[in-house]
Amino acid sequence: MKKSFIVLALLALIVSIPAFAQDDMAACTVTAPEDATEVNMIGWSFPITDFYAAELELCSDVDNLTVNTQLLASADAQEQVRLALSTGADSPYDIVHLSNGQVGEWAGAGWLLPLNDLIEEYSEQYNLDDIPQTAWDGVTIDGQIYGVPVVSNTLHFIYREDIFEEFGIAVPDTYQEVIAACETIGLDNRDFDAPFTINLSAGWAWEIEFFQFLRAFGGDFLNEDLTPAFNGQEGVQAVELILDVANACMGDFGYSFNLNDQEVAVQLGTLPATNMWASRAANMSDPERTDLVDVISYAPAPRVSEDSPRAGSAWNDYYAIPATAVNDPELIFQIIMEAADEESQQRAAEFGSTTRLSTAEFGGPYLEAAGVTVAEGIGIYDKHPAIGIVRAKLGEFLPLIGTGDLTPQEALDAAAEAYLEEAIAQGYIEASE
Amino acid sequence: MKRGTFFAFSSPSIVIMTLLMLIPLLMAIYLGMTRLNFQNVTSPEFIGLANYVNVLEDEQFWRAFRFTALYIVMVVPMVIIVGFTIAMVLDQVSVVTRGIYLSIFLLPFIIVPIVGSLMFKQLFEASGPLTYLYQEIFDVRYRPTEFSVKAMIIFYGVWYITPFTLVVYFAGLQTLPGDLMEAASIDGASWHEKIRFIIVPHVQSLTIFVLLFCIMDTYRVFDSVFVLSDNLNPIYRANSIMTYTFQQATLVQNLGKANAMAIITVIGILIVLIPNLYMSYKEQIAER
Repeated sequence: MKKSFIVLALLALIVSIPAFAQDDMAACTVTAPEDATEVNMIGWSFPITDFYAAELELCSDVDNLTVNTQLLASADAQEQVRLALSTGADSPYDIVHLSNGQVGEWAGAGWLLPLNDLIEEYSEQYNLDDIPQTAWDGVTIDGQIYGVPVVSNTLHFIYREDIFEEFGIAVPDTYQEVIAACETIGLDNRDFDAPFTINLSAGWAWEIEFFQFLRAFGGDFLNEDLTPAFNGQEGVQAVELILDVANACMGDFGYSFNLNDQEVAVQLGTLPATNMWASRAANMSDPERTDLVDVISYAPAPRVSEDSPRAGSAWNDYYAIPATAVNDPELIFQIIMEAADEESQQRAAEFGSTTRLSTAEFGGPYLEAAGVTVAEGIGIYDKHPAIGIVRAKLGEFLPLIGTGDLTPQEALDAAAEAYLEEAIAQGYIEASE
Repeated sequence: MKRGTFFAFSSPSIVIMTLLMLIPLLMAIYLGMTRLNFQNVTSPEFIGLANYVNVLEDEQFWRAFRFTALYIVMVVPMVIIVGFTIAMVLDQVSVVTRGIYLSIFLLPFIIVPIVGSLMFKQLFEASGPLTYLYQEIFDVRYRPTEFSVKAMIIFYGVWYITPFTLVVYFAGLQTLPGDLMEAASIDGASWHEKIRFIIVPHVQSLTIFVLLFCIMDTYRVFDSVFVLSDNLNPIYRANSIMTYTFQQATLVQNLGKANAMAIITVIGILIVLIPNLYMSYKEQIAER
């Protein structure tokens, strides 16, 4: 009798565990498909997208539905999407993650499905007006909306309050002040890996930093006729300032710092300041990841000069449906909304900056600095498909400045020449121009 | 053997080789002559030899080639010498000891290359044990440099490929005629002379085989370069031909140039291997 009771109690406990767990995670409300359906999502991993992936996978509890998510490093995920969608064959993915940098390239190439009809149909049900127009604008080309904004993002300044106090450094508002702060802390200070870092660990990372500095100096990637504008005076100024920052703050070692290294170094206390994505800042206020939660502070991205905009762009991450997805777009849209609905985004705010206005109060301590950066920053990427070529070519030549192979002007001119050749070949510019 | 029988037996492999090797190779040659990127995958534009010329004029390609050549020149002799030496030592010890050490030495061979590279990299990361040790010994933080990253890639190559040469040489040593060694001992040959005049000639055909495989393998080095240079961080200038080709294809999205690079790589490896293949052919003829 006693044994039976214990067995029954254990069984009851085992059965009740999923029920308790389920309380924490809202059940998926997607309408069950008639036939067995497998929905595949691909994207890249950071805290809030990890959370969204888990939300999407909850839909596997719906009858006849399996949702698989694959989160890779950003460059790897983008490479997989390009390989899958560029051929025009049936897409192995039903949901693809993209950010502003890919909107022009992917939507412009016709790889993504316009979602206008679905957004209109479900606007009320999912309260889509709660997502600000600027976020939709970032993924809209010629009136066609190609994605659902799920993350707000920007690169902003993150620093150790205690160290800045110890050295008597005020929070820098310009990169000249950042350079001065680095000189005060000292590049050869053995307590730290480097006084401050920006991410110059790959071609794409160079291109992102360059874009922010370039825009802040008043330049842009392209002229209105799509000829290159980035190799003008503002472009050279932007690269020279990047080099000044790198030389004063990073040294050769700082060039080796990628986003993960920056994050770990701040958490370990070996990096007093860095430029960090808001999407990663949630990890800085997590006491399970660092003992320094109380002394890590956030500030808006510095400006390139006193009267310039802040050198931080407004980024969003989106979930989109490939034009060649084989499953019902309505079903896929509903699954995306499981991650992008209000309830989900309220909980997601713990892991990063969401897109809904109603969830702002649930965010972390970095949100204010990120918000100021976006408001006073340089805006979003141009969405013309030719921007994809600009990014690729800059990513190819800018790192050669860091290695000392090319001067800023040489690298920018080489990128401009390569861009022109490709843009003409792809028909964006007339050959005679 | 009748010609018909010969073709009946060999045709399946000829068909498979044609489908899996010759057709992709011909396609790559053609795609190397096109302007091809992810935007025009279905309609590449024919541009003749422009990509091939572009590759040959590309300073980054030649830098990648130089590092690949350095990698081959450093790794191949080392894996042959180290593998041969360990095989010689194992040949002299008891069966039990040999079994234990052989298992240990074969471990790198069992580990998946990308996993091995990641394990290696973790040793030198900010919280890695070797970083800690380095700091304890030298009282300065370990900071990766172009030299240290390249050295790490080469060291990893030696660590990873040596078990292959070890196994081959160890197998070869098992076929060494005992009476020959015994006669040499009676004649007063020193240990050094036995190695030089009996063992080395005995394993010569194996050395050519090992050389052939190791050159091919090291020429195509990818995983360790990709991982240990921190996803091809440009500051380390540690691109190999393979990683540079990958970079051109996926990051720069210049698929036409990447195809041209792949073909030039194939031609390059053939040029390197032809003397070895010729030596191997002569060896075969001599043995008949």
